[in-house]
Amino acid sequence: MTDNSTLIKMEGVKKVFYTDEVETHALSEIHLEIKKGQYISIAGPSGCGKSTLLSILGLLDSPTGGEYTLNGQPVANLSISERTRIRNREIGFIFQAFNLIGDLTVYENVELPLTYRGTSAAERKQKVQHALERVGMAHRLRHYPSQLSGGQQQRVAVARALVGDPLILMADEPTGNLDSKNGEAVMELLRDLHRNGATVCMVTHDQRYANFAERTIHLFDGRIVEETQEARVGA
Amino acid sequence: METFWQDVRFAARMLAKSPGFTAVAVLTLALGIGANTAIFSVVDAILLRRLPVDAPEHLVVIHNQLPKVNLPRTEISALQFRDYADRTDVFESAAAITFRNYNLTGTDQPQRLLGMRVSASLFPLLGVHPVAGRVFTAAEDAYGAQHVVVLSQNVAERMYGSAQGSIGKRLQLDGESYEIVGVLPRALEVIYADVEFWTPMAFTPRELNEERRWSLTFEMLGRLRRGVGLAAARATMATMAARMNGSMDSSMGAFGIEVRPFVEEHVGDVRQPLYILLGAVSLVLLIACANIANLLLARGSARSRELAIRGAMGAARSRIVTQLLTESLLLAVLGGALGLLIAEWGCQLLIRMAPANLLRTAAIGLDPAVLLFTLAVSVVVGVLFGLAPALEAARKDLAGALKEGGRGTPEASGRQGLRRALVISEIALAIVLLICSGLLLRSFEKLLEVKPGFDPTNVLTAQVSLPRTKYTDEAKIASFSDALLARVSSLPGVLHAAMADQPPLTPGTDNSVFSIRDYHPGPKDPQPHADTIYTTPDYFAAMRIPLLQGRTYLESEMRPNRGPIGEGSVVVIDEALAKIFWGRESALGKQLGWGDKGPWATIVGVVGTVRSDDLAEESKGTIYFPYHAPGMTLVVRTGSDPRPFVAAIRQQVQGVDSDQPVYDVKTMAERVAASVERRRFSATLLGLFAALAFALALIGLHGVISYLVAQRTHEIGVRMALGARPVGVLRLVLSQALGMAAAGVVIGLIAGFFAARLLANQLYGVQPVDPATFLVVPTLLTAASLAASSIPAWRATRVDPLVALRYE
Repeated sequence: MTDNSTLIKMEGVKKVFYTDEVETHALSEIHLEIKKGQYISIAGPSGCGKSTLLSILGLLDSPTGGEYTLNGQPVANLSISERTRIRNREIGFIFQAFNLIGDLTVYENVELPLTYRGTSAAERKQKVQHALERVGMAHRLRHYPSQLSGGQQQRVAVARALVGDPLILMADEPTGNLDSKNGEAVMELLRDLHRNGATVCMVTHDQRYANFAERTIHLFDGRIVEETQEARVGA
Repeated sequence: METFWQDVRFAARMLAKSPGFTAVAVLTLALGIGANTAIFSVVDAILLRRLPVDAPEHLVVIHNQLPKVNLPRTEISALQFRDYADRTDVFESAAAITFRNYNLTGTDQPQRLLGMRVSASLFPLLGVHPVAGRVFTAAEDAYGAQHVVVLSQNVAERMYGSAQGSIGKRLQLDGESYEIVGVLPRALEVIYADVEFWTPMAFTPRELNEERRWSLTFEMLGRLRRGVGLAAARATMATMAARMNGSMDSSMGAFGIEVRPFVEEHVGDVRQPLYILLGAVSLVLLIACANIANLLLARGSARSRELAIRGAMGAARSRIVTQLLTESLLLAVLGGALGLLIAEWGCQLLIRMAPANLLRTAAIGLDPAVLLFTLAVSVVVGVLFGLAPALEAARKDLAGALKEGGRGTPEASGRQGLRRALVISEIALAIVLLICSGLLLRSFEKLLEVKPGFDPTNVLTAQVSLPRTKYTDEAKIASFSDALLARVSSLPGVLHAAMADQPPLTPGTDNSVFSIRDYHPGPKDPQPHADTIYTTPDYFAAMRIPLLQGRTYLESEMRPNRGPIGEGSVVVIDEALAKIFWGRESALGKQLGWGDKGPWATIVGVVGTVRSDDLAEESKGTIYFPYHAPGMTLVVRTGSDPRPFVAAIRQQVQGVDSDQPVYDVKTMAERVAASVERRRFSATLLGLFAALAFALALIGLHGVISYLVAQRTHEIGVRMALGARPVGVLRLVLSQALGMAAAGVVIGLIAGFFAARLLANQLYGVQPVDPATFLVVPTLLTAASLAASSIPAWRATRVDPLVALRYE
């Protein structure tokens, strides 16, 4: 699945939070490269900086220092509006808490990234339908999130992440709010997507799910302390 | 466009999902927008709408000014009209007008009609064209040829079914026959509200007599010549006044001629009070906006995750701001729509409450201009209260907002600051309004405490105007008066009956210059002047005006056919005039007359001072003459409520002269109430708006304190777990509320100090910096703020540390 071209490259990335007179170093000296089509997981204990790293990778936040290149374009110091545009076109998010908007239907939730992109209504309709079919939720178009189970909500969130054909899917503890059966199903879904060519970057503290990825990066106190390769990927 | 409708649909869904929030916001806005719309409709109808005449900006009204004899703005005489119009080159055309009542006879019931004598040039000057027939010709504007009449459209339709149907018919006015030659459009009622017909001015030889040069009874209208501005016209008339000053009796004081814009003449007096009301109601709307902005800020916090998700999905900040603004605008439009209903009701209420002398009240209502105003206000208001919360919400840290967790991080201090600033502004604005309304209410209260100098209870007044064509000499007038008073006095329940030409608080004033025997004013002293009233002897008893010295006059001292002053004549003066000229010395036995050479009338009594024109205005002196005038008011004191006597009194008038109508029948208490109507109107409305502002500000404070308590639940839980006592928590919350209230009060007092100065000329008996108002208002608001905050504060003391800490 990997085509060996680099999608993400981080060199010496750091993130420092300043509160009053206290400096908190959330990330230090992060060097990371993700190739197109890779399935990578970021693992580590609570508070190690996993989510901060994913936020920076997903352009939800910007690094305090270092270089970050996405698909060949330096993105560390972009303006908010440029980050927003890239996030909309190149990145799909899946969150632990699903983060569906309760006042929108399944269809409208999935449609959201395309709406902000200015896609025509006809194209939106076709793409939303397709994305929901891929996750097996096409029959719940008019439902609201509160009418769905947790597993179903996360599948809708996956469809929303997929709908804009992003370069990479960023998943932050996607099984954290699911029971084991639904968790497994979502992981299988991600694996299928990866098999079909998607690049996936997932944060998890659960070793079982980290093993679904072909590469696992271990963080501790904001630094990468270990990287493991899984032979089973693509089996 | 698609995005817009998408936002509208979503906004509607969001509002429908929170019916409580939506109802409170829409109702708050509706009250604010509705009140603004209603007041704007009054301002529009009275001040902004163009008068129905050609180029009103070139029309002026000319007044004489004799400030030294208490006539700062008065009418002109017939001879002066001719001088001003013919001896200057500033007017393209000029017209003289004067109100005149006529008795209409030859119908089922004799009626009193309000008419106007006008120059034939008036209607071309105004650019008013008849809806039927024609207006007057120059030939008809000549003495002896004036028996033609032009009707108002209302009267023509009421009497003849249609305007056209009245043309050529004849009317018996004051016993003389007039031919109806035209009907004027209804639009003219905007300027001359109650006038029912017009007759040609046709100055009489008497009016044009040189002796009547200072008989000031006409109003002059002029249309400025093309290229002549107001300043040039004023300069020309000032030159003419200076020339007249040189030739006139210097004892009259400096004489001036005022050139006043026609529009100013019609609406000048009400402009400031109406703009004050519009300002007040705008402040109410601002407070409402601040309240909604605060609600939206709280809602923005609750929706921070949704907005962060949208941001994560690629919604630009501008897009999020647009969406939130769409919600605010939808709220504002809903508020505006409901506001229109409130405004419609408000307009009806305003028309009912409006003082009778407020012109153009019939035009108050919701017309396209008002609807446009409401739409514009709704849009501006929507942006005003929606922008800050929308910008705040869009500024949220995405990564933080998307994190899983119940309580999340405490709200940013910047947003809390904005919230506090909004409440402080609300309190400050409410203080300003409360101070202004407090001052007006205190002023009104002072006015009601004024002793008018007579006892208005159980007094009925009715006007009886005898036509000169029938009552050709004073003996006939006296005979009518005596007969009527005899009949009315004999009615059971009537205590006293009298006639007077100008009882207190009836329209018009009669200020006359007079001489005092052996008194010679210095070169800079004004000629003595006073209000003059002709009455029958029982007038003082009927009005219960107290006799202070001497006696009142006797029936035998009435002077039919001999003029008010002559050999052996007597007068009664009021205390104010006695003090001005005789101080501690007795005025009894002193003599006064119209000229330096007599004849003289002897002062036989001094009575209490009466406030004749306005309760707020002290008398500058009054002289009472035992004399009959053709236009008299019957004054009847009864032993009980005088209203049931109206029919009997009408009957007595008819009994004396079956052609004589009675009109303007009112109790004296009604006249007193009517004289303070305008002040009551302003004070009531401002009080209403201040109360609304007060309530909104307290609701705002309550909301913010409740929100802050909810935000601090965890902190309060920790404090209580560590041993804080409920009273300490109560102090913590209340001190926060008091801090905001104190800041608002201080800012409001400073702003109120300046706002009160704008009101200065609307106040009576109260200084703009009235200590009582400036003390009571902040105390009241601080106490009410404490009360409004006590519920959330009490709720804070009930926080269970165990439950609060579970948020962790």
